[in-house]
Amino acid sequence: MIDPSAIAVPLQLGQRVLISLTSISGLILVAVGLSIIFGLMGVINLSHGALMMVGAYMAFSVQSAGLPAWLGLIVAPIAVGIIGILIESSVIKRLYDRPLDTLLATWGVAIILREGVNLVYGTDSKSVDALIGGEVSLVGVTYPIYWLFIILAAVVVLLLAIGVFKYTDVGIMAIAVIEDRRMAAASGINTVWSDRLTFAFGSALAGLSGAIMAPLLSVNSNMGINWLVNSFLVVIVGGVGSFIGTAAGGILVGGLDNIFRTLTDFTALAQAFVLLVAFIIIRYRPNGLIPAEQGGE
Amino acid sequence: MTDTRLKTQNLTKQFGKFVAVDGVDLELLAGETRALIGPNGAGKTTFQNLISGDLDVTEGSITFEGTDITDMSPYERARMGMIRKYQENHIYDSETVVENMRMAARGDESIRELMLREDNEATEDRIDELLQIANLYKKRETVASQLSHGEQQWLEIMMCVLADPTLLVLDEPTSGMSVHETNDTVDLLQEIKQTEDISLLVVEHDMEFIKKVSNNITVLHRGRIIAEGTIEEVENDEQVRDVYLEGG
Amino acid sequence: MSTEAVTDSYVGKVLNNPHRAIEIVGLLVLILIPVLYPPSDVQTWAIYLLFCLLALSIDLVWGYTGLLTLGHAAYFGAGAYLTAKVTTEIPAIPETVVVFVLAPLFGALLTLVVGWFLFSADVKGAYFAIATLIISVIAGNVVQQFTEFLGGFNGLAGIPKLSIGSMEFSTIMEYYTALIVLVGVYIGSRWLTTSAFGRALKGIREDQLRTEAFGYDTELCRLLVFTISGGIAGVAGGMYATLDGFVSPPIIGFILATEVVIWVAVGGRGTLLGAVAGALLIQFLESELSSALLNFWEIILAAVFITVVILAPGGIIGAVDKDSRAIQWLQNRLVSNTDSPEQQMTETTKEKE
Repeated sequence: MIDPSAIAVPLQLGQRVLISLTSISGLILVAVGLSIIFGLMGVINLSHGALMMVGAYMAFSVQSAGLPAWLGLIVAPIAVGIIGILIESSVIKRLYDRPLDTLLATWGVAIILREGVNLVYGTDSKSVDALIGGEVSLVGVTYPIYWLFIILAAVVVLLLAIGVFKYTDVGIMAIAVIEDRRMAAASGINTVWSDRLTFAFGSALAGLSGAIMAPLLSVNSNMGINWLVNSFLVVIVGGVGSFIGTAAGGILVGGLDNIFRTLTDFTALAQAFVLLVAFIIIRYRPNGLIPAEQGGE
Repeated sequence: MTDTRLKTQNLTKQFGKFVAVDGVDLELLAGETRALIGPNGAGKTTFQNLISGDLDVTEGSITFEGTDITDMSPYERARMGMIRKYQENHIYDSETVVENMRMAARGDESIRELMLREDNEATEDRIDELLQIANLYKKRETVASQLSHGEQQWLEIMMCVLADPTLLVLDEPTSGMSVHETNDTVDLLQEIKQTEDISLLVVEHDMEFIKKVSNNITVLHRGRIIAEGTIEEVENDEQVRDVYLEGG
Repeated sequence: MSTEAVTDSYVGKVLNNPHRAIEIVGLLVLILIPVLYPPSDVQTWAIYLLFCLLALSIDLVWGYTGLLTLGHAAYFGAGAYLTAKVTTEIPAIPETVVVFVLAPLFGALLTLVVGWFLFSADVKGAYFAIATLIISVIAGNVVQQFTEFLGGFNGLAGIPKLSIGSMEFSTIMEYYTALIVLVGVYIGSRWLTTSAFGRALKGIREDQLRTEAFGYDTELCRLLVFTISGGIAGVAGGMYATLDGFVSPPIIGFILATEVVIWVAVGGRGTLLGAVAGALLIQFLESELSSALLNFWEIILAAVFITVVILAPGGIIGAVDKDSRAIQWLQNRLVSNTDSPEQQMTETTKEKE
């Protein structure tokens, strides 16, 4: 399968729109996990890209074991969620009031995950087949059906995240713990496990996004870094602490990326331009496009 | 005639729709000690932040010793002689007391001077002198994080004094202090006031403390000055009494 | 003096100033490297020294000023690539000028631009780190894409060695050049960080607001130290290019940049010695391991790094500080005339017997 963001050949508008929608969806899908861990919890998690990568490898393992592809979409979030619990209980929990140290330590975790994957799977790139194969014809152009699945997945995961933190008991308690730890503890909530599960949830979503995106990408241990960068851009520009903000950030970053790619063949330059725009936006709106305080949740 | 050291004209700060500081005209003379009081949320901290340059002004102007400083950055104002002691302790926790003092001594130098000039003896003597006044001389080699809360406050005050201010802004210098420590702080400020014509702007809640150290009081409420004058005048002001009774 | 007293005084001096001792012994060892190793290894050691220089430049910015720069390899790589292009395409300019004048200037220029961008917006702390990481990733991608001009994925080769007149530097000469530059920059950095300017840097690291409020122009201070460190990284990159003869995208990218940060952290940030010693030690250990163990090594190093970050920010050098527990223990055991009460008691008991 081809990565839509690698297509630089000039295309018709219809194709461009769907490619843009797909790549925006991919960005949002991968960023939601970070939106929870960094946006809500304030944890600067540089292992986010690596967690996504592990999810992709889970999908690969399921496939190479001859099991059905949809199983990968279940195994990935569970496995990466468990890894998230391990990371939180060994590293993150000691560093909640030390953001720079969290940044460094999670980078160390990312290295361990990367090298661990290299040891287990080797360093060559893998490929994963899509859950749904085949193509469909829309507005006169043929698209892989899987791209529509990605768009659907992004919407579902985004709504899931919003729903969990707004309408479930666990989610509401998690927000309470994040906002006022002492009050929450006084109310009898187990803040330690709340943090742990919130982190695990964000990790699980990162893993799921990796499994979903895997068929479009070249799966190797270094794939995470670009998604790490993208996710941070999306969450920061969109608005830290709000899921609608993350969606807005995804639309902006993805949209700009696609526009710049039509202007230049050099995809890295497009990336650089997106960064420039992101920087200017943050300079004048330091809280992002739709920050949490403005009811972005 | 005594010179005006600090003057604000129509000083206003707005956060969106909320007006934190509303058209404040304040004049502080050389050698004067002014207390700034008011209930919580009156705008005292915002006012100080505007004075020190930590916040940008929405409207109005600030003049320091005749110069308009409204657009100047904090370090430029500090170099002109306006030094602020913050409410939360802002000392260098992991450095010793004497190293903390050394930090404050040379803030007005150019980078070239910082690189090329050695610490001089006169400054070291002055540091020791000030530490003696604050009763911290014996602890000069102690790491600052190991001092008591009161001692940390005094250290920061002495660091500010070392920076040779003509206007010293003190934000709640006795917060968290015992009665004994507060009295020692009174003595400390009296000592400081003996040197030159230094002006002090003291933001405080402790009225007893204020009575002992300041000449005049300005009362702030909801961003506006509602009373100003000597302590007796302000104490007897009806509006002030209402505000403090209602404010609790 | 008895032999015991002589050894005591030496051991005592070493334990009283372990860092100085490490500096002296380390320097002696480095001077002797070409004697101990064949020329091919000497070249490898020279490259170690150049990465020590990069680590040093990072320590100035991170260890002393508190600015975690996760993209510093970009300035190293920039110096290297500039050297590669200029020496191969404009041979009229002597390599020494390119490496020792143009490369550091280029490195300094880039850090000036990045620094101005970020400091004028007062970006600091974690956001500064993230910004430098993102810049680093994108810079690496950009360099990799310009295949025609910058050699793309395959890089540029055929970079000439340093030479004076018509005499080309031998490997040993290049090694000592690198050593001299490293020692020179080390001494210069030591001077800088012990000056009042160095104090200001530490003040910025500990409490930028308070430091600014004493009159220090912290933006200018940050810009200056950042630019100086960019120049150092640039000259290190320039020397690397002429030494290795070959440059490629990995020397610009985030992997190298973050790796060196790890060396500085494990060695002990904010001490200069920690950066150099950490970089040297880790590079040396890595070379001794077979490729089979290398993956494990990365994991172990990462685990050590995480432990240092969480528990022991002073790193290895911090653990051998004269006030550290390890050294105190050694002092009690090895130096017989310390004032340790246990020793005095044992001696008194001995006397009584």
